[in-house]
Amino acid sequence: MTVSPLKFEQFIERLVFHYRAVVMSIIAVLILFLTYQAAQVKPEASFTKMIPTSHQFVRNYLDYRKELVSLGNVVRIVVESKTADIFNAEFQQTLKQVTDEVFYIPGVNRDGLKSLWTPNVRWQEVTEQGFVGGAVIPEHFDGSQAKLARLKSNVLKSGQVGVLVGNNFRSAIVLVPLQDINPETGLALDYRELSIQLEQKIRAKYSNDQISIRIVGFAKVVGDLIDGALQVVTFFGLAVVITLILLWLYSRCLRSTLAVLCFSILAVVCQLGILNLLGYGINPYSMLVPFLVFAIGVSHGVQIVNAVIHHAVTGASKVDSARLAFRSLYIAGITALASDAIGFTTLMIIDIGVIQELAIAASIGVAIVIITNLVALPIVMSYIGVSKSGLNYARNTMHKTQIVERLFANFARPPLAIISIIAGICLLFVGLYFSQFMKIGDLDPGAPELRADSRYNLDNAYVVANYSTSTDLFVVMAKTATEQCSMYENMVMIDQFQWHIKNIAGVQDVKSVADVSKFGIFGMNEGSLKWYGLNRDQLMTNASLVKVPSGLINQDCSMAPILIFLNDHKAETLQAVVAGVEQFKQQYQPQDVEFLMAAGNAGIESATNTVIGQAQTQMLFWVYGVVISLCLLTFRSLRTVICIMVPLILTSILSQGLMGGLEIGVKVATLPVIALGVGIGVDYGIYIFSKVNEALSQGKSLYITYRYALNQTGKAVAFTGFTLAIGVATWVFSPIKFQADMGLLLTFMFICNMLGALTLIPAMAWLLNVGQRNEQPDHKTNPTDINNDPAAAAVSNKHLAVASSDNSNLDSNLNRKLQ
Amino acid sequence: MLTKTRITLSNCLATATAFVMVLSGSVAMAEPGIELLQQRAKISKLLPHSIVMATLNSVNSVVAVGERGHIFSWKNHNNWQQHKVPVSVALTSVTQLSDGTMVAVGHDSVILTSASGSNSWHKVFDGNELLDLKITLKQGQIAALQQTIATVLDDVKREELSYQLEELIFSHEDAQLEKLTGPNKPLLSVTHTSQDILFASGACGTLLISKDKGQSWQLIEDRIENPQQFHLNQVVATNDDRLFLVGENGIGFKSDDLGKHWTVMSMPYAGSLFGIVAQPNSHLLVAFGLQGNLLLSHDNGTSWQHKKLATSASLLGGAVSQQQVYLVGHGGLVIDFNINDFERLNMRRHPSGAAFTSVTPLNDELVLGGQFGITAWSLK
Repeated sequence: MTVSPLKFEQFIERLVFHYRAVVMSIIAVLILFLTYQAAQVKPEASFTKMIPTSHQFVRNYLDYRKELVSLGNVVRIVVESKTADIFNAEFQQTLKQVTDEVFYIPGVNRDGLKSLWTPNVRWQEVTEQGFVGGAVIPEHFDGSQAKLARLKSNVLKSGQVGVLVGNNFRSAIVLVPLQDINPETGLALDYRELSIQLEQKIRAKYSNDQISIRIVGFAKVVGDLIDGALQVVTFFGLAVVITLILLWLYSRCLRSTLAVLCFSILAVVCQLGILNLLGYGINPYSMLVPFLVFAIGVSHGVQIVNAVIHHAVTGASKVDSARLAFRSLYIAGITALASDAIGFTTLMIIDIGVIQELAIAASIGVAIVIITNLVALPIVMSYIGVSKSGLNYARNTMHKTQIVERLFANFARPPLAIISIIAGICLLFVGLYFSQFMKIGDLDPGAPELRADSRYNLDNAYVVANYSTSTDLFVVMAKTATEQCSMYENMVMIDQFQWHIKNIAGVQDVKSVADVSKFGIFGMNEGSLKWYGLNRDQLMTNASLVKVPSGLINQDCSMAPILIFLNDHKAETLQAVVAGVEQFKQQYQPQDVEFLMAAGNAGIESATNTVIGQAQTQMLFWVYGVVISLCLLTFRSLRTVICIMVPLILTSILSQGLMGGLEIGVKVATLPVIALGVGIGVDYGIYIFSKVNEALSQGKSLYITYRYALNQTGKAVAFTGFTLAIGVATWVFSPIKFQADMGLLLTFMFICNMLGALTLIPAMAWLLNVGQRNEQPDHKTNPTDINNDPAAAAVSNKHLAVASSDNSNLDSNLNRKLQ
Repeated sequence: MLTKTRITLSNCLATATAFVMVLSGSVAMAEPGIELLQQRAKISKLLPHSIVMATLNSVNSVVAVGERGHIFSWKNHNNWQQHKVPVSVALTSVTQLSDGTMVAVGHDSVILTSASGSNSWHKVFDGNELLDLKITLKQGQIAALQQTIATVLDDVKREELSYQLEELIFSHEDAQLEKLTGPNKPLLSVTHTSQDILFASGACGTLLISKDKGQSWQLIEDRIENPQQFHLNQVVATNDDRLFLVGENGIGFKSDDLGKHWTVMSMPYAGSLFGIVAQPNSHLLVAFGLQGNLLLSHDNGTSWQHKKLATSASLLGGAVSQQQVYLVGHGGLVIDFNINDFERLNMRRHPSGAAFTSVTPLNDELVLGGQFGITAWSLK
C-alpha cells in the first residue's frame, strides 16, 4: 500500500515532463495528420454490416442473394391523386412522366421497372379461344373518355389492384427494382445519392395540389437514415456548447476550460482519422462514438484540471501542479480508460458488423483520450497554468463543496448507508420486475429505425393501408435438385408447407410458385375454379408455370422462395414462424425439398434477434468479467471490487427495467449501450477508490477516508456524470428512432452510475467493513463533533477550519510522500 | 396491341405421346413426400376464408367443400365447424342423400362419404380405382372393336373403325401411364336421384354411377357419346328424376331413365358450359358458361336459345329457388332472374370481386362460395 511511484511510473512521468516540449510536438504532429485523415471520413450504411453475417439464416440468404434480388431491393413510388381517382388524363400523364423519369435514375434496374405505363404490365382474360391479353394502357391512349374506360377495364383484368393500383383507385405505384452494383461503373449502389435523386427528381418535382408522392423501400430507409444521422452532427455542436458552459461554471477558468474542450474535440477528430486510415466509414450506429469519446475526454480532462487546481490552490507551481495531477491520476485514468476500451472490445464477440465497428471506433477513441487528455492536457496545463479567477473561485467555494462532501460522505455510515442499501434493494426489485417486459427485437411497425411519425413511416403506413401488401416479409427458400423445383411432389411439399405456415398466428399470407401453378391450372381450364389445385400431370404443371413471375423460381429451377407476409416484425411473431418451419420439417421430414431460412426483412431480423438474444448474456458476462478482472488487478481487494460492481450491476438491471417499461427492444442499437454504460460507469468507482485507498493507507476511518475521496474527486465525479449525460442526451432528439433510444438509455445509465458511485459505493464499503481496522485510532484522532453533527446546514467556521485543516494535513502528508 | 395465345383447351386425347416423353425424360421419380390422397386435412381456423368450390344447403347449416380437403358446416363466421376429412385434395362438389348420408367428390377423382349426422368422412373411391375401371373398360372396348373390325368388309368403314381403335388404344395407354404417375383427373360434380342413385362426372368425360349410396362405383362413360372426352362439368338430377349433363365445348346430354340411356342436347353455343339449372315439374332449363353466355330451354332441353349477358365474366355456378334463378361467376358477378322472365334480369357485383362457384339462396340472403371463401350477401 505505497503511493510512492514505482520505477516504471517514475520513468513515465520523467519522460513526459522532462521532455514535455518534444512530447507535445510529437503529439501535435500526430493530431495534425489525423485531422487531415478525419476530413476524408465518409458516411455509410451497408446492409450486410447491419446483419449477423455468420448466422445460418443469413448465410442461406447470402448464398441466394443474387437470385432473390427482385424480391428484396425494391423502391415503390406511390403517385397519389388528392382529388379524384386515377382514371383521368392528368393523373395518367403524371404517372407516365414519373415512370419515364425513374427510368433514367442511376441504379434502377430498367428491365424490372413496373407501372401501368410499362409494357411488362398486362391484362389477361380467358375466352373461348384461350388466354387473351395486352398492355394495360390501351393503344393510342389519348386521355379520352373511351380510352379511360378501356384503361379501367384493363386494370381490373390485370390483377394489379392492390399491387400497382391502390385498393381505393386513388393512387398507383411505380415499382423500381434496384441494382446493387451499377453495371456501367461497377460501383456499389450509393443509397444516399439515390435517395437524393428520388427526392429531387420525383418528390419535389411532381408533388403539388393534386398529386402527392410517397416513396418506400429499403433504399429509401437507408437514405433517410444517412440524412438523419447527418443531422445528428449538429447535436455535437450543441453538446460542445453546453459542456463549455458547464466547464466554465465549474472551474471559472477559461483557459483550462478551453484546454479540456479542445483536447476532447481533438480526441474525436483523431478517432475519426484513425477510422478513415483503417478504411471504415461512419454509420448511423457508430455515430454515437464521437459523442462518447468527447464526453469521456471531458470527464477525464475535468479530473486532470480538478487535480491541477487542487494542487495550485495549495501553492504548487504550474509545472508542479500539472506534474502532481498527472502523477496522481494517470494510473487511475489509464485503468479507467483501459477498462472502457476493453469493455467496448467485448462487443466484438457480437457477430454484427455495425456493432463490431462501433466497438473498434469506441476502443480507438478511448485509447486516443489517454494520449490527448491524460498526457497532452497536463503538459499544456504545465505551460498555461490555472487562471487567477479559477484559483480564487476554488478557494472561495471550498466550503460549498464541503456541504456536498459531507452530505455524500454520510453515506459511508448509518443511517444513510442503511437507507442507501435498502433503497438499492428496492430499486433492484423494481428493475427486475420491469426487465421481465424487456423484448428482443424491434417493436414498432414500419421501418423501426425511423420514428413512427417520420415521413417514411407515414408513407409506409399509407402503402400498407391502401395496398394488399405487408412490409414485413419472411422468406423461406425451398431448395430442390436442379430442374426439380416444379416437380409435382416438390410442389405439393411446398404447398403443404405454405398452408402449415399460413395457419400460424401473425401470418397474413403466404405466396410461392405453388400458387402460380394452381392459378395457372385454373386459368388453363377456362377459369373453372374447381380446377384450382396442383396437378400430378407434370406436363400440365409445367404449362401452368410458363408465366411464372421472375423471382418465384430461380434460373435453374433449384430453388423456389416462399414469401411469408407478416402482421408485424415483433420477436414473438418471428419466433412463431421459425418454430413453425422447424415443426413442419420435424413432422413431414421432407427429403427432396430443403426449407432454408431465411431472407426478407423479417427473416433477417429473426436471425438478428437470435444473435442478439444469445449475445446479450454473453456480452454481459464478458463486460463484467473484464471490468472485474481489471479492478481486481488494480485494487487487489475483493471487497473493493464488490463495492465498485454493485452500483454498476444495479444500473444495468435498472436500464433493462427501463427498456421493459418504455418498450425499447434489445436490438442492434441498444445492445451495445449496456456494455458502454458499464465500461464508462466503472470509471467513477475507480477514481473514488484510488483516493479511498490512498487515505486508508494513511490509517483514516472509512468516513474520513471517503470524505477525502469526495473532496479530491467527488465534484469531478458528479460533474463527469452530468457532462457524459449531456453529451448523449441530445440524441434523444435525433430523427432516428434507435439513436434516440441509445441516447435515452445512455443518459439514464450515466446518471444512475454517477449517483450509484456517490451513494451506494460508500454504503457498500460500510457494509463490507472496508477500512474497519482503521476505525479505532481514527475515533481518537478525530473529534466526534463532525461525525455527530446533527445540523448539516449549521456548519460553523470552526468545523470548516477543522475539516479543511484535516484535508490539507492529509494533502501535505500525501504530497510529502509523493515527493 | 392485342395478342391472342391459345395455351390449351384441355385436350384429353393428346397426352398419350407426351406422357411417354415425361416418363422417359425423368425416370428418377421423386421420393414420395406427401400423398394428398392419404394426408388428413389439417385442422385450421382459415376455412371460411379459403377457396370454397361447392356448397350444400343442409338441415340447419350450409355444408361447404373446397381446397385442401376442406369440409365444414357453416352458419356464420363465428359459428362453423370443420369436418374430419382423410384427404388433402381439393373437393369440388357435395350432395346429401335422403337418409342424410353425404357424398363429396374432388381432385384425383376422390369420392368421400359421411354417415348421417356425422362430421367424419371416409374415402370410398379414388383415381387409382377409376384408372382400373377405365383400363378394364377400354380393354373391353378394344376387344369388341377388334372383333367388329374383323367382320367388316367395307374398306372405308374399316379404316374409320381402325382410327377409332387407335384412339381407344391411346386412351388405354394413357390410363396405364397415369396409373404409374398417379391419378390427375378431378371429378367435378356429384348428384343423386330421388331413389338415391348417385352420379358423378368429371374431367375427360368420366361418368360414374353408384346404386349403393356411394359404397361402390361403376364407370358408365361409354353410355354417352363423347369421343373427344370433353370434361363433364356438371351432372344434375331433378327430384322427378330427370338427369342433365353439361360440359366443355358446349356439350350437353340428358337421361330420363336414371342414366341408362343419354341423349345429346344440341346447344347453340360451342364454348364451355360450367353448369345447368333445372327444377322439378318444369321444362325450363338454364345452362351457363364462359364469358357471360347463357342458354335457355323451355322444352326440357330439346331446343335452346343462346343469350349473351353484357359481361365478359364467366358464370361458374347456379341455383334455383322458387322460380328465381341465381347465377354467380368471375369478378363477383351475381345475377338473378325469374325463370319465366329472363328479360328482367338483375346483374350485381359483389364488392370482393371474388370468383364465385356456388350460390345457395337462404331466406333473404345468398350464401356465396368461391375464391375468398364463404360469405352471406343480402340482396336488399
